[in-house]
Amino acid sequence: MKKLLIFYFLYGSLFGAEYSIIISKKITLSEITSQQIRDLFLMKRHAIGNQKIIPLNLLGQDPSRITFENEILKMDRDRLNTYWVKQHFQGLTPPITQPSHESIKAFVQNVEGAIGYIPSSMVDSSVKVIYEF
Amino acid sequence: MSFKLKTILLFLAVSLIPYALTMFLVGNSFRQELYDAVTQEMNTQLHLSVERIDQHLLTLHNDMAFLAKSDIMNDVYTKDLDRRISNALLSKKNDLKMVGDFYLTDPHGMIIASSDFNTIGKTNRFKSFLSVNVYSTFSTQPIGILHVRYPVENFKRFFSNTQQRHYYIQHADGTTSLRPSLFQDSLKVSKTLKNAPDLTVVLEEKKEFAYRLLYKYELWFILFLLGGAVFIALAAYFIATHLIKPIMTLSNTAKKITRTRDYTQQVHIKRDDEIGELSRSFNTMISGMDHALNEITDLNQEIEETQREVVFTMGSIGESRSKETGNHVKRVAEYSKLLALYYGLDEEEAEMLKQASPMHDIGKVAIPDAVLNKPGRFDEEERRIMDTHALLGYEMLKHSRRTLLQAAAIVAYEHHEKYDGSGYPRKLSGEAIHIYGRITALADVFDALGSDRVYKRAWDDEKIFTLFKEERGKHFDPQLIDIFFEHLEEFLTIRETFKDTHEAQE
Repeated sequence: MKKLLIFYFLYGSLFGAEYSIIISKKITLSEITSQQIRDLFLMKRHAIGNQKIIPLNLLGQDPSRITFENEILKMDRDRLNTYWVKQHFQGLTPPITQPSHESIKAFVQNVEGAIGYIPSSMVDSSVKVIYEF
Repeated sequence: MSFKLKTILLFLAVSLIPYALTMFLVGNSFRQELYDAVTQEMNTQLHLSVERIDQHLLTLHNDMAFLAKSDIMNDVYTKDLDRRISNALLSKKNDLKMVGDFYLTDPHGMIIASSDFNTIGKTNRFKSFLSVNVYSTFSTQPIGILHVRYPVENFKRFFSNTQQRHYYIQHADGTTSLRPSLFQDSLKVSKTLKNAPDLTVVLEEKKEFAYRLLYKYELWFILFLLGGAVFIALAAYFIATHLIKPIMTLSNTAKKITRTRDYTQQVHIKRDDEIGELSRSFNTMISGMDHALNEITDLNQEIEETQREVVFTMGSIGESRSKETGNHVKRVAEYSKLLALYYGLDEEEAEMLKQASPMHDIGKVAIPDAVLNKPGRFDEEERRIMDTHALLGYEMLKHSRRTLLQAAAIVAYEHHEKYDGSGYPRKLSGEAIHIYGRITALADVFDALGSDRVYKRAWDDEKIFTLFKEERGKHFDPQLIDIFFEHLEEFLTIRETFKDTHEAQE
């Protein structure tokens, strides 16, 4: 487990991780697994520990979203659509969306527990990175 | 004020007042009915309009509530970084085709998003028409407030205004908006908006337009009223005249009776009511008066008859004493009347003289028979005694106050006076001798000369006429002599009529 984590860090630093999952700095949570992220974005869980988490998707067919779906959710668009159609009948709706990385960043800053992905180049001190891919 | 006028006025008052009152009430109720009809119609219109506005406001509210619940409201957290909310508000504004704008503010009043992009980031200064709280999917506290600035101009399209009728908005503080013009006199109905309780919609209509039917028929109504009044006045006049007619007839008959003194006249009113009763009483009274009057007339006539007979008899006594025939008295009476009439005395006076003249020799009753009936001429003493008969007659009659006896006294006293003053007993002359005396003198002498007497035979006419012509202005009044000769035929006719029948026997 530790090895794997180091691998990821290395991977990230070596190849220059493209995207970062960010969260408000006020949240004590410092790291998160890709499995947890997947569960949150598929609305299978809504919290980590006691912390309520609000996942944010990017609107449209931005490369960051495609990468995120492939890398983290490990589902292509067709499967995802099928999934959400099924979930719809159980009363679950997809995560809320924001139209841009900037607005995701702004939303995360303002809403405690919101998480979203932005290009790593946009990360600054206003937000906290809890995962990179 | 005449009874007729009073009756007319009474009729007018009795019929005109209720008439005017009725017409007034009819006119008023027509006006009220018109008012009700107009206001009801206006209320219907107003209700429809207000209903539509309320519906529209409800839609606006629902739209805002829907917007407030939509997912994009989460962009409040990003301060509407991508203008998603603003764009949605703008498109909603365009959808509603409204004047005014939507604003989304945070709880502190800062404008986060707006359909008017220029105001974004500023503090909201506008008074909102409606506002709705905005909640996010994951927060129980409102994250913002959605406002709308909705000027009353938006209501304009619900108002179908005309020159005569328009809508306007009245605010809670009494000020008005959207009022196209001010009407001098108007009917108003108003209704408060259910979804905006501080706004009242007023529908106003010009009074002259609302009451156009009333104004149209007003003149006719007044003419009708006046016509009715005139008709009532005429009717009152005719009824009063009809009522008064029998009374006027009664009054006129009374006047006529007074004027003509014909008490046999009657009123001809055949009625069974009180007026008929009155006229019957009137007729009874008049015939009673007629009857009484006839009695009085008869009595009067009786008295006059008696008086005449007494005088005549008295005259006859005088004549019989001197053995003169009774017809002498009658002839002198007739001559005297004839002379009196031609002289110019009226019928009444002439008649009186006719009755008085027979007494001219009444004084002879006091003359001794020896003197009176002495054949042949009198001596001095006898003549003196004989001549006293004039004064004696006067003395006998003068005490009476009856005009007839007064006249008889004058006749007795003066019938031996001569026009030239040579007569007796007072030697009066000319006009100083009473006309009765002058007339009787002529009549007496004419008859005496034409008759046989104990002391002489009758003169023939030629001799008499010659004497009369000689004595004109001496013994006799010249005017009377002229009258005598002028109407000689009439005097001779009288002499023939009352001829002494027993003359031959004597």
